[in-house]
Amino acid sequence: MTPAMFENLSKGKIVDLTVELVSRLTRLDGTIEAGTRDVYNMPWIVEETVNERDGTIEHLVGTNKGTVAEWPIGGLSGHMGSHIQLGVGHNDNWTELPDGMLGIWDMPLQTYFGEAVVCMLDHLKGQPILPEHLANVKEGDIVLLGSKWSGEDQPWIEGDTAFWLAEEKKIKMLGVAVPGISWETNTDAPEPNNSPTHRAMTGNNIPIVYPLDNLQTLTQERVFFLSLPLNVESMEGTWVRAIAIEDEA
Amino acid sequence: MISFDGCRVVDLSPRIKARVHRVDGSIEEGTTDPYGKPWVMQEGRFPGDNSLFTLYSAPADDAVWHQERMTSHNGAHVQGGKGHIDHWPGMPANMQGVWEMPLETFVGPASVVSLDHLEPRADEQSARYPLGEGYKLTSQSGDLRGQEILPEHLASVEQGDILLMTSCYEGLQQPWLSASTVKWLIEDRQIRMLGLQATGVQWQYALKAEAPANSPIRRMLLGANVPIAHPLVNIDTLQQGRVFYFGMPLRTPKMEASFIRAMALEAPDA
Repeated sequence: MTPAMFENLSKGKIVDLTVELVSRLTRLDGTIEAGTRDVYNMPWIVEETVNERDGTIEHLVGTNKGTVAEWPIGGLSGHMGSHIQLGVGHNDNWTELPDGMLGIWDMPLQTYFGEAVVCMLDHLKGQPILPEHLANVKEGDIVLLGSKWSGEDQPWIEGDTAFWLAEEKKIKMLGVAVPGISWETNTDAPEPNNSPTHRAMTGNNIPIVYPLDNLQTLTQERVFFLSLPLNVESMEGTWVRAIAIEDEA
Repeated sequence: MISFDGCRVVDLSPRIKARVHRVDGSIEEGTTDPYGKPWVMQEGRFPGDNSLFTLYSAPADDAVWHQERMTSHNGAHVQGGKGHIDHWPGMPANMQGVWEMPLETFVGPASVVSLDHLEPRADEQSARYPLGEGYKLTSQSGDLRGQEILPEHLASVEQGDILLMTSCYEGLQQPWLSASTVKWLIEDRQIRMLGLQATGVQWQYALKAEAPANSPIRRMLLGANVPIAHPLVNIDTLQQGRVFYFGMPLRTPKMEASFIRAMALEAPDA
């Protein structure tokens, strides 16, 4: 018999928060079906190949270096579409980051799911996000940030707010809708004043998952959120399927 | 609010250590998945913010992997029929890809079946085993072979379940899934997904038979839009017969199989 806890869970509503990234697919006959790109202009590229063992078709991921003009680098990084990242192997080459930073693979699986607070910041057109705008964040929350804005109208995460989230609210994970939130600033400033949100989160072993989609469709302020990284040691960022589960209305 | 507080978390995805070619030219050795496939990556530096990234790709002269690219079948993955076996004669036209299935297909209550009690036997039933020693396609009566998995061994499976299966046996001593049992799982139990430990259940056989007799289990399950997740690990460590399972594909339409992180949760009150 299914435990009562799981019966209730099955009645929840799953909301897909993952960006859809349609594969650019090269068929066996050489035809190419166009794909889409994510908000950072990243593609997902695959090519059919036959598994000689059983005659199934499998997809090779990426393309060979220098063979596709629009993606000359060839391989796909873990940062295509919705993905999750931590510090080791990603920004631990920066100066003045703390000791003890971890990789995604070092964190317990429980890090990547749990209670999340949804912060829709439509009222902050082109404004900085300050702690006073995040009054509903509780210590240990997964924090999901979004807004209806794009481009220069997006609210942005002030560096001080990122450190407040990380060190005072001790959030568990940061999830960001893009477009919606400009979550990093000063990316080209001299170290150690660059990229304060990266520094605040990865320096405190708080994973960042982005770009997310569909936050605006959530109807509840508190949801169950899950975005599990692949189980690959030394992969500094991995693709995820991010979902929220809302209670039955 | 929905919560899994107090649940025991069991990781069902095998850990792979990536083999990484660093920007400084050094190489960090990696491991393989349970089928022996590696995960090779090449490090790069993003000039926009001086951060590092890794590409899922091997350099042309890599000592471990023979080509630049690897597939979406490295490590734990889930596969559907469209794009994977829809070129085989005899497959139904309404077969779906994993990207077309609702997320509930890959999330929910799961039945855990461990078949350790199906000890291999050396009797007349051995001749029915769907594989033989070496390159032989069949076994002989009296060979030590795994038992056929029958519906009576799967009595705990409820309608609409995700089914997670394993046993402690390897090779030709693994119990095997027959077409008649899979038909029962599809039509009677209406399972929505099947998850298989890397070893434990024999389900990939008749791979070279002439279509439509080839790969009967894959044909039946994917033809009925029941996706298959494998190679999983730790199913044998689950302590409860019913768990809550997560193992969703990436949201990359047209990709015939997807890497997954599979996880089971055991209830504290069970």
